[in-house]
Amino acid sequence: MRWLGRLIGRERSPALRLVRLRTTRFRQLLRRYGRFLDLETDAADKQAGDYVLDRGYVATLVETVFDLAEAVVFDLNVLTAGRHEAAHGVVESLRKEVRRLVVASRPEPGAAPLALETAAVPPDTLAAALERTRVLHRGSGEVACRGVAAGPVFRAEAAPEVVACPPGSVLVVDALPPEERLLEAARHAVAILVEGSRLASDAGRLVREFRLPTLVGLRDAAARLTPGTVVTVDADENVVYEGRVHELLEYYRLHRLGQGEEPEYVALRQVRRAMFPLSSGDCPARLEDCTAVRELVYLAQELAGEALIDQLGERRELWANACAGPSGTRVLDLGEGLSRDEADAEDVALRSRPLRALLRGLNLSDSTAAAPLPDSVLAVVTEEHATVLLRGLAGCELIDSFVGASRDSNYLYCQFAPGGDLTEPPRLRGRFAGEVLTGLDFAVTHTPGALSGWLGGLPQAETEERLEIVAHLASALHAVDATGWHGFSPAEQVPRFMAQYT
Amino acid sequence: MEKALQIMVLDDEPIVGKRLKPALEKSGLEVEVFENPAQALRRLGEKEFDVVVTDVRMEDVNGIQVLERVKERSDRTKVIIITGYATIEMAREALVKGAFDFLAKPFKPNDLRAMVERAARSLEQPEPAS
Repeated sequence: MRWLGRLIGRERSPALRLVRLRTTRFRQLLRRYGRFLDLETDAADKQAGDYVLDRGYVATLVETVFDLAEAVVFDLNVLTAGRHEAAHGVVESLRKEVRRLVVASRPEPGAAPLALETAAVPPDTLAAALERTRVLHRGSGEVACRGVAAGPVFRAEAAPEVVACPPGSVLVVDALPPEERLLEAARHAVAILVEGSRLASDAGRLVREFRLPTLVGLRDAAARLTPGTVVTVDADENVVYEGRVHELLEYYRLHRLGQGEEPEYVALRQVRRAMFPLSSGDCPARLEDCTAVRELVYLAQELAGEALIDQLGERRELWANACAGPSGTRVLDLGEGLSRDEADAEDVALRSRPLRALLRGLNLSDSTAAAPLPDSVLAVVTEEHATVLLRGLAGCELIDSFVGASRDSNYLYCQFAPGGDLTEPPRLRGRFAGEVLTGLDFAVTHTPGALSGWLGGLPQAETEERLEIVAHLASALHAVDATGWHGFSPAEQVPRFMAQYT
Repeated sequence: MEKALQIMVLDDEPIVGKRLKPALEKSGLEVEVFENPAQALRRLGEKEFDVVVTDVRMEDVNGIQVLERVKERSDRTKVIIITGYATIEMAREALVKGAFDFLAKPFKPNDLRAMVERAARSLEQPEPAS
């Protein structure tokens, strides 16, 4: 591969050693950030009410979240020579506040023990009734809110029809409607069944607040729910029965009292509100101003990415002898990222798996994508890892990925400029990138200076595939930067972009 | 009519009994729930249960002691240990001492139901000849 031309000397100069230390530290920060995002998702999953959990889970969640936040801030300070030391104090202060919530959730000493009412329906009668009742849906999909209810099926084909849901009905929809229509439906429906598998977090919060038994991801089962037919929804067990199962309803008339108010779930809800508030879309610009640990960690990863961009991108001497690749790519090899032909020192092959995938993505062409600008791609690589800076009109952006044999180690991270300056309508660039990344199952975070995406835990081939798509997305963003964002419609362009990969 | 399986659930966290009782009763099992280990131990002296589900770490009495008491009374009874994050080692000790299986919190009621069904099947199987 002669296009790789000259290769930087493999000698371990102090500058290269520093690059290795920084990219390794950044990789460590990203893994902790990914673990933080996993915990956030896991806590939301547990909050749905489908689990038996205890205060030990809540206390462990809090400590693990703050330990990770502390570690992320430590990594950030290593990358920035201690520029954000004050953030350690913010983490500790936030940790103390949330610990107080956990302590306050403990029952008073001598509190009355649980009083379980005697069931009006004996267990064998209940089990026999369930045994003889036809099941219309069981098991697939997820419980969004527990509970039991019965009523005739009302199917809303489109969001506006939701408001016509008659009182006492079981509402069946393709996807949960927007918040205001959902509020209207919640006044009438006794349960909600959603065919699609996606549940927006706000919708999940709403159905739980209204204590509306809700199942999502019913798929084909929804076709068996004929409008007008009476069904019983058991959202404790993820089952829908044909008809009204009186024994089950009577059983739950007693046992559902106070459901969702168990102290463990109240404690979980309170610490989640404190750690991961819904309003954190407006993240402060300074770590010292963060009022929730989520804001702080999101901002810390953005600042760490910016620091790395500054340290790598702005040092011309570092790249002076780097290997030259296609379209202005320049490559610094930290070990096994490139290989040289024994017989011909000029013949260099690219071994770095993530960079190879990324270059494949950058070279894709379609109506919106363009080749990257000359001298716009700087990469620091090993065989399994690549840190890549993409310089364009919007500034310098970052893609960092590890692609190895173990899926647990694999990840893909990207940080794009959100747009939104005087020459561009508000944050269209960020909306477009964010919606594409969400469609690719990335965890997407918005901070004042960046839109970031994280995806981890995929096998090698799938990680490479997503990396190609993200590189293609970067290319598409750069292309629109050149022509301008006025008139650009994410609603039209996102499906068009995604259609290439479905 | 076949006699329903008799289950004891013991955990000092109220949510455990509250969630498990309906989940198991829907399968036709008869369930007694206790938050207080001393009361549960007294009840174990009065009645032979088919399956005992107990938390491993409680104040005053731990799950290992409950297991030992159950086994003193009836070796036939299956004991399922439920455990939090920090007590996996104790749960392993319980397995060595004859517990049927253990389950780590947080878990879904269905996970426990499946385990109870396995315990019920093993109750039906004759003891291997020694």
